[in-house]
Amino acid sequence: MRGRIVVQFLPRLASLRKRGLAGWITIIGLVMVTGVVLMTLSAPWISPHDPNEIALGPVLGPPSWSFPLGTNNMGQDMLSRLIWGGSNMLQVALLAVIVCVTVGVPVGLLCSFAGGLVDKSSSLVMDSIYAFPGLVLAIAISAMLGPGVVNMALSIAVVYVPSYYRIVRSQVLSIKELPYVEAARTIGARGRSTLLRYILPNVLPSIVAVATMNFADAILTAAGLTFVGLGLPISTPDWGWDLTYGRRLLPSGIWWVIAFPGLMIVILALGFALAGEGLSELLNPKLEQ
Amino acid sequence: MPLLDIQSLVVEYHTLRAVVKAVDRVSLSVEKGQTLGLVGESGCGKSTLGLSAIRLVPSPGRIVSGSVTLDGTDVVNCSENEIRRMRGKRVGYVFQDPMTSLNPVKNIGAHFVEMIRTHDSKVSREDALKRAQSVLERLGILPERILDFPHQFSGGMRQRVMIGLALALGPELVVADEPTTSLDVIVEAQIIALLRQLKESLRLTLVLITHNIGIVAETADRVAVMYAGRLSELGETGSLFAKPMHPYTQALLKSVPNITKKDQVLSWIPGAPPDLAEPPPGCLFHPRCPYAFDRCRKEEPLLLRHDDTEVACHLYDRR
Repeated sequence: MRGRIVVQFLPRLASLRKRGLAGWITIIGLVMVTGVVLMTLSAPWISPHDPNEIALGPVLGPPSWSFPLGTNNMGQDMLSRLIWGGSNMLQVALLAVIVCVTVGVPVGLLCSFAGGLVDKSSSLVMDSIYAFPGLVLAIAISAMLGPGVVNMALSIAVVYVPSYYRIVRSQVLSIKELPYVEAARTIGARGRSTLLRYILPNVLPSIVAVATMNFADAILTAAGLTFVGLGLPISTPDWGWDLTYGRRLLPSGIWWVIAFPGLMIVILALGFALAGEGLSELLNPKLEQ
Repeated sequence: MPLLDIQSLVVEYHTLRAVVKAVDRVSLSVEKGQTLGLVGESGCGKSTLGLSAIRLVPSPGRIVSGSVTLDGTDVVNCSENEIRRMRGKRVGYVFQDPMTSLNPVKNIGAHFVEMIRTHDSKVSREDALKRAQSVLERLGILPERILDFPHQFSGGMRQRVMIGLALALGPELVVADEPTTSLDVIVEAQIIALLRQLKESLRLTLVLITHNIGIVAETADRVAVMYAGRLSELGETGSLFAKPMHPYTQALLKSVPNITKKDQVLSWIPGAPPDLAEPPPGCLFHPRCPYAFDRCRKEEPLLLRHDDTEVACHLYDRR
């Protein structure tokens, strides 16, 4: 019974190619994401140099045979920094999404199922968080919490919890009026089991889709936080940091310091966005047949 | 003592515009083993009446006064836990739309397991499934389909599953709320035949809510005719169909097309049911009644016994 979601999910992934455009979008997105994740995971073995070692090559050397992506103003190898640089961003994004799901989903389920004043007050709180521009709020919270992976993840989670809450709430509100939920009541089901066995399984597909798309937002916000200097210690190889350095160098025609980390962020965010878009189409049972 | 006894039940819906009396002082009773047909137009309060038998009147509706007694248990005033234990165990409920009344992410077996284990957690999953299979077999669904999902069944089969769910725990009373409305006529005939057969073999007590007069004529022992939240006529099926007394019942029976008559002009009831937010004074049917006279416009008729039937009409009340 508990493996049901997985059991339903796996054959769907296997048959993605038969699912038309949405299937292909999902495949492309997942391939991009998996590629970046694999690269980051295998960084200790595939990276040619230590990403933090300075004066390894020429200062601001353009891409060449020995340094394919060039070197930065401290003579660090940009290729090694690129391979290592996604690690923190992925950790932050993963942690942020986990926190978002574990907070947003239960709160959304309980409050909207309870209805009345509980629902109204929680919606008010969530909407007021939602009203802030995401990055600005994340910067504010991050500045209060200080640097570090966990703190970055928390500040990003606060920004994105309302979107989970909203999705779950809108789904619960429509599902709880459906005849099969009423039918559950006529067989004497408790409120708790109605919520967990009838409503939650029907909300899950949208949560999967939102979470995947939320990864893209979290990646971008994490990059933004590091870019403004609120993320990680300066010794950590990170795409966000390289953007910060590269921005100052770009006017003097040194494009390789900023271009490659920027491209990686785009690939990763785009991959998650595509996968999320495709999944939300595929996992929506109403669109099947 | 009747199995289900409803006494002057009033159910109101509190809307922003007005307080609507969906069920207004309805009294009726169903004996054990009997089938009561509850007929009336859409929105006359049939379903609300059916749902109040298990105290599930949807919000913003609530039971304002009156009593509902199921085999000695006070349904209106018992605790939330008690009523929850009654639902499904003592009262089975069959819904109108089998297409949406089953949880799309759970297989049929899981529905039965949930149902059985909600009321008796000692039953193992395997035993519950076995019991489900024997119920389904009786309803003409192959036992090996127990792990199929709702979307793998046709509408008629899903309604059988719903009926099976309602019967799984051997309830004393089954309320079927328009069980065939969303099915085509062939399947409808099958489901009705099934209900009649179950009624015989299980000595089932059934409240059949419908707007299909034909089904009632075939299935019910007694018929209650509702109009705008009130009972207008209540009697044995045979006598009610042979000699309908209330003008509304008469008009209702006349508006059923007859397959044997050629060139028949179908009669209908002019006008529309009253807006229950602003009900007309007196008899609620008087604006559409061809026999209405002064008293109908002023005084509300009471449900009075007249020969074999009870009827709420001033035509028969010669006081």
